[in-house]
Formats: sequence, C-alpha cells, structure tokens
Amino acid sequence: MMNLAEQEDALRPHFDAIFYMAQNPDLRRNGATPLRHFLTDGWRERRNPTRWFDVDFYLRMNLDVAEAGMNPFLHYVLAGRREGRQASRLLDAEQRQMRSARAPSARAGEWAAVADMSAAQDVDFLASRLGDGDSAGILLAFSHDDYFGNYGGVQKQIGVEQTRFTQAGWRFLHVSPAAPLPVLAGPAREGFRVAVRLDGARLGVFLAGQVAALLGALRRAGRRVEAVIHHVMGWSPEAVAMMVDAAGTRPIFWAHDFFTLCPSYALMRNDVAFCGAPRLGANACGICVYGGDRLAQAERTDAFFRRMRPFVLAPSASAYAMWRRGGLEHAGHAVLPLGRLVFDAGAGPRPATERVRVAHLGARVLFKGWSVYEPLAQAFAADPRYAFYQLGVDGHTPRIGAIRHIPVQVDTTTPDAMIDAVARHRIDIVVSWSLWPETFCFAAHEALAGGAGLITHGEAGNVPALAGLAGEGRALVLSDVADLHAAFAEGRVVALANSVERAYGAVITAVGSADWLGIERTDVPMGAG
Amino acid sequence: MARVDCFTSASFAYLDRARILFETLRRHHPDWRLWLCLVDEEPEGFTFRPEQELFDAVVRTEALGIEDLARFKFEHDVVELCTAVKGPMLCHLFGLGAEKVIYLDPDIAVFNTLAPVVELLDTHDIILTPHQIFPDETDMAIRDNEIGSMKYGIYNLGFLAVAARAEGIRFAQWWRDRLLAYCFDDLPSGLFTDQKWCDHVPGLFDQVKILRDPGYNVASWNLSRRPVDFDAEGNLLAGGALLRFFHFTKVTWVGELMLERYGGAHIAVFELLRWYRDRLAAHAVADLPEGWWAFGRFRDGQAITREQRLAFRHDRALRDAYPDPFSAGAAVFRHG
Repeated sequence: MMNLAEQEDALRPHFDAIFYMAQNPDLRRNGATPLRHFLTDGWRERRNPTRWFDVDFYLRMNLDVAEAGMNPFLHYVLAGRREGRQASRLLDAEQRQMRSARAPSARAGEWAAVADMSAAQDVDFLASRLGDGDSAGILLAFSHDDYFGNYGGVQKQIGVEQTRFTQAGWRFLHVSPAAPLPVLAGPAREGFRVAVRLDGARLGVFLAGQVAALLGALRRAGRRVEAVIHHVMGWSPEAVAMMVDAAGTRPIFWAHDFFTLCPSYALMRNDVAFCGAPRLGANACGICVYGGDRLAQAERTDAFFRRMRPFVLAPSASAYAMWRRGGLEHAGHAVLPLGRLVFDAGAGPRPATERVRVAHLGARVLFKGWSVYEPLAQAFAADPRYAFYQLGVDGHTPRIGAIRHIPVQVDTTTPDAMIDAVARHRIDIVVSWSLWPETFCFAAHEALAGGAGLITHGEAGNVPALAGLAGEGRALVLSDVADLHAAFAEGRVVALANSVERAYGAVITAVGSADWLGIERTDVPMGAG
Repeated sequence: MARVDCFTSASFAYLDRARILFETLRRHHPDWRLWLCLVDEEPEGFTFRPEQELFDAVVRTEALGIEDLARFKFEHDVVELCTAVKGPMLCHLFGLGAEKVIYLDPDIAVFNTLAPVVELLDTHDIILTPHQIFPDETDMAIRDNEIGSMKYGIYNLGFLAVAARAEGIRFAQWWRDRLLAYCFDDLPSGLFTDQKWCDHVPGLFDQVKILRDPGYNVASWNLSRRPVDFDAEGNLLAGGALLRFFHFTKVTWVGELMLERYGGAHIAVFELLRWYRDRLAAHAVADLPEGWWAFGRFRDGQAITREQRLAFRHDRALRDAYPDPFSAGAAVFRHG
C-alpha cells in the first residue's frame, strides 16, 4: 500500500492542478494542495484530476477498481493505461456539450430576463426625434438584439454602419425585439414590441404598427427610407415585413449566419456537429434538439423571403454558397467582406530558439474549435517545441494546465485588443479550427494582423480562403484533425512558424450596407440570385 | 398491396418505449395496422386509454387462447412472459386474417422506411436478422458479440417478419407451441426465451430470408462492425447502409457501456441515445407506480421471487395444488 507521499509522487506528472482548481472553485479556501485534496477526498467526491480522466466513468467501467476501493486515477496511472483501459468517455467534449443541448424554444423562457418590459412609447416621440426632413435619408436597421448592450460580429458591424450613415447625413434607426428570443417570435404584426435606438440613442419601446405607420408617412412626405435586415432572430417576420413594406423599399438582407435555414444559426446538430442544413424531415433533424424549431419556423421564413425578395449581402463567398442551399427567394446577391487586412512592413522572423507559441483565439467553445484545440494541446503538452495559449474570455469550460489563458476582451472601446494581444504575446501560430463554416471570421483576420501564422481546415468557411490570400508562408490548410496532429508531430508547424514574416497589420472594417447602397446608385452589375 | 400488421409486446413499464416505437413507425408507415400485445394489468388508480395511444388496437394475454393462464403467467418472469406471448400473438393475427406480420421490440425506433421488408415478404415467408452479419475482429468484440450470440441466439428476435403462407404459418404454429412450453431464460438448458429457438429456423423451414442488410436491427452488439453516422444529406447510416431501425437495448448504464466500447469515432450514435432519452422523458407513463408489473406480485402485494417462480415451474405437486398461485400467496412456498 502506497502512503500519501508516494501516491503524490506517482500522480504529480499527470495531475492538472490548474484544471482541478478551475473545475472546483469551492476548494479555493481549502488549505490542502489540489493534489493532496484529490487523493484524500476529491476522487471519492467524483472530482476529476485532469480534463482527460473521468473518475466516475472509470469507476463505472471498471467494477474491479470500484470494488477494491482504490483511487481510480492511481489505478489508471499504475496499471490501467498499460492494460488498455479507457480514461474517459469516447468523444467526451462532444458528449458533455450534447447533454446541455436544448431546443431553443425550451430555452426561450430564460431569455425573459433581458426583455425590456417598459410601456410602449408614443410614436410622436419618435416622430419628433426623426425631425422633418433635413437628413439624406433614414436607414432602418433590423437585428436580433441591442447592439450596444451586446458584442459580437453582427453588433460590431451595426456599430460601424451607424457611424458611416451618420457621417453621410442619414438618420440611423435601429430596431430589435424588445424581448429577444433564440427563435422567431410568434406571428405578431402591429402589436410587436420593438426596442428603438436612433443614431445610437436608446428611445425605448414602440409598437411595430406605429413605427410602420410613421415610416409610411415619412416616405409619402418624400423622405428616403432604406431597410437593412441583419438578423431576424427574436422577430416576428410578419412584423418585419410590415415595417419594410411601409418603408417602400427592397430590403438588404445580411447572411451573417444561417439562422434563416435553422435556429441553430451555425448549423450545429445537437450543438456538436455541423449538419449543412439537410432537407426538412431528414434523419438529422429528427434526432436534433433544433429539429422541431426548424420545422416550426421554416414555412414563415420561406413566406417572408417570398414576400420581401430581399437583396442578399454575404460577408464571404462561402457564406453565400451555404446560405443559398436554404432555397430562400431573393432578388440578387453580392459578397461584401466585413473587413480587410492591411499589413505593415515585416519585422522579420521569430527567434528560432524559442518554443513555437500556439494559440486559440476567442472563447473556449466547442463549435469554435475548442474540442479540437484542447486535445491537441494535451497531446503536445510535453513537447518542448510548443507552448499553448488561449487568448480570449475565461469561462464556458474550465482552464487546463496545458494551455495558458490570457484574458482578452474585445469590445467597442477596444476593437483591436485581440490583434494587440497576439502581437504582444508573440503568438506564432493561431489554430483556427471552427467546426462550422465561419461566414466571416474576425479572429482569423486578427491572428494574421497580429503577426501570427494561421492553421485551419478546408471546411471552416471563409477561413481557408483567407489562408489562401495570406499565402503559403503564412498559413496552412489541413485536411482533418489527424492531419493537424501529424503537422504538429512532423514539424510542419515549426516550419510555418519559422517562415512567418511577423508583419503586423490591422483589420479595416468595411461598412457593407452603406457601401452597397452607394454602389447601387452607380449601377454596378449585381450578382445573380 | 397486402395488409401489414405490426405488433410489439410489452408491460406498462415499457409503454414509454413502445410509444416511441409506434411514433416512429407511424411516421414511415401510416397505413400499417399497429398492435400492442399488453402483458400487464392496470394498477389501482391508473387508467390506460388505448384510444389516446399511437397504435390501433391492444390485445391482452387473455385473448391469446393460452391454456391455464394463471399458472403460465406465474412461471415466467416479465421478460420471459413478454417474449412467450409473441408466438401466440403471431397466430392470433393470422387468425384475424393478417397477411404480413412484423414484430418489433418495444425498445426499437424506426428511422427509415421498412418497405423493403414488406417487399421481401412477397418472396419469403420468414425473415430474421442475425445479431452479427460481419465477423468481429478483436478478442473483446468476439467474446461480447459472436460468443454472446452463441449463448443467446444467432438471430435477434427484436425483429421478425412472417407472411401468412404455408411455411410462415407452419413456423408460427411451431414457434407458438415451443414458447408455450419452453420460453425460459435458462442458458444451461440451452434455452433463451423466444430467441434461441429461432436458431432452428433455417434448418426447419423453407422460404427463410436471413436479412444481412447492416441498416436493420443495429444495436450495441453489432455497432463494432456497423458504425453509425450521417451522410451529407442528413440520412442516418449504419455500416454504410440507410439505418432502418435501431434497437435501444438497455439505455441504462450497461447499454451505455457497450456503446462506449463500440460506438467508435462518430458522435452520431451518442446523439441517437440522447434523442432516445429525450423521447422517453416525453413519453413517460404518468401515474404508473415505480417498478410496476401486475404479475410481479402476489395478490397480497408481496413480490414474487425468481426462486418461487422456478419452484412452481418445476414442482408438479405445487402446480397441481395451486391453479392460481397469485392468490395462494407466498406462504405456500415457505416449506417447499
């Protein structure tokens, strides 16, 4: 029988104290070291010693170990691994993710907390703020939430747009559901409650019918009104159509993601695998938590597009190619990237004596590639050629010892925070392994702008195209996860790191809708629908 | 087109599973006549409303013409009894004029059309699905699967299809007779419920089709050679063929353990399991007492043990003395 000190010695090389403490915040005030706690109490409380070892699973799979009352991790390290016993479930990250997957309609109740329940304002208040006609026009912008209170690619784009339209002398009238939802709202029209911002100032809640009537009156009075639909999540599409009709214009519809194909906007079946939006009624939808909601909103979405026939703007060619598989009617389309990269002169290659610094940019979420990156870092944790990082927010899943977390928060006040962090921490390689086809991946742009090389795969949406633009010396497009591991093992990754010119740059954000409305006036040929 | 009758056999404890079977069958075969052979009775305070269920008709064991029914029920445990009635039920349906009969276990869910089976019944009288259709390769899989099937039966009787022609009817009658006498879980005696009997089928009967399509009757015992995944169109495949039905045997920890062992590199099979658990929750049988089976207890409420059933099965004197052992109570076994 080993004493505690001997057990500690045996487990120390395998125990992940960072993970243990991140997973068990209740132990922060416990006096014992994490390893000592695990040995004396933790394993009996079914706490896991590393990300890759599952105490509960091991005990359930190995009744001999459970019956012997032995610490299962100690058993695994001393004997189980040699005997070929399994340390955790197959596809553990996916199984964990899947267990928390729920139909968006079942989650809708939880969104009530963010609803603006205030009484609807009198529309005269909005009318007075819109004034009587000294602007170049009114841009009516739809999206799924308040672009001030939340931050992401779509919100960023709307913020940029607002600035541009305001500079051009337009009024920027943003509308979003007063009660945001992860699915379409019920089929309301006039009574649909809309949260309104005008030129960035929050005006409160109005009724869609009254806003529509006001827009109609303004249009009849000779004001130009254009409509841009960034997102319809949480909207009643019938209310959107009513407001656009009142504006008397063909709307622009942005294919920022695939919500109009399925409420799983990244088309992640059961939150674990990209599905490609198969035909309605396919087996995939039948066993997916999104299947019922997809079916429920398909007909209304279809009717909305038939009625609106919008002009579709896609942030990448791959995004449009995927989006059009939904078969929704539209008058035409164009591809307008949300940003472009510009580079300074190169600062020369990295010091070849250092470990190659590899990073995942963004949150630790499965569909952004964490389920690939985390095992990669574990597999090469002991390899002296590499050091692994995550640049982004903390949370979602616990940190692990093999990956150093560097907090980075990108928002309106610090739009370049990620680029700066990539440069400051001298990240050599960013693994951009999204499981869904990114429509426009800012993180991959930020990786290159920060001076890093980019590694991705062929199905990651616009990222492989970006890698192609960056060129062979800056990027690798690999075929699959096995190829990714092989590239790390064989040294292709080190070779890429050594060839990257470390040129720093910036992502110049485009103002797509404004550009497009301007371009349209000069009669540039449109793409086919 | 010949009429298709499809039945399952279950106690109330498996009604949630049967509901999933019928729900998925209805989607693909709205024209089939669906039957529940109910091997149970309602507990007090519980009302069973067949008209609200997804099958067309329910048949209780009393309707199957089984002689000496109380003794018959008593000598079988729940699995034995639910399988023993399959032969009588098959004959019952033929007696009602059924032309093509398909049996599916209640813990099966149908994912794609079973039309090929209906077609096969035009040219074959009896269709069986073997547990394994490809040899296993690892020692563990050979022990779990191939040797397992040598103990429990080569064909999985979660599925059976029979046409009402000469050989089909001859089979039904033979199977019914054997099950009425020997439908026990008694491996040392060479018996395993209704299933092991069917090892004889290719030897005893003509017009037999051994269906070796990997899409039928996929379960933990053959997953090792039939990986489940989606194709680009969102179809479920097993071993490269369209998945027709999956057999969710033991969605408890034991079943999960086997899925872990043989689920392979694809998440799809775990998605199936997740979906099945969701549907089970949606179809939970309200107001059914935990562990309910009407024939699991003496009339006074005391649980019947395996030993008591075996004693009754083998002790001629006990059988003669107690035509209704449920009423006799546990006391009669104490000095046996």
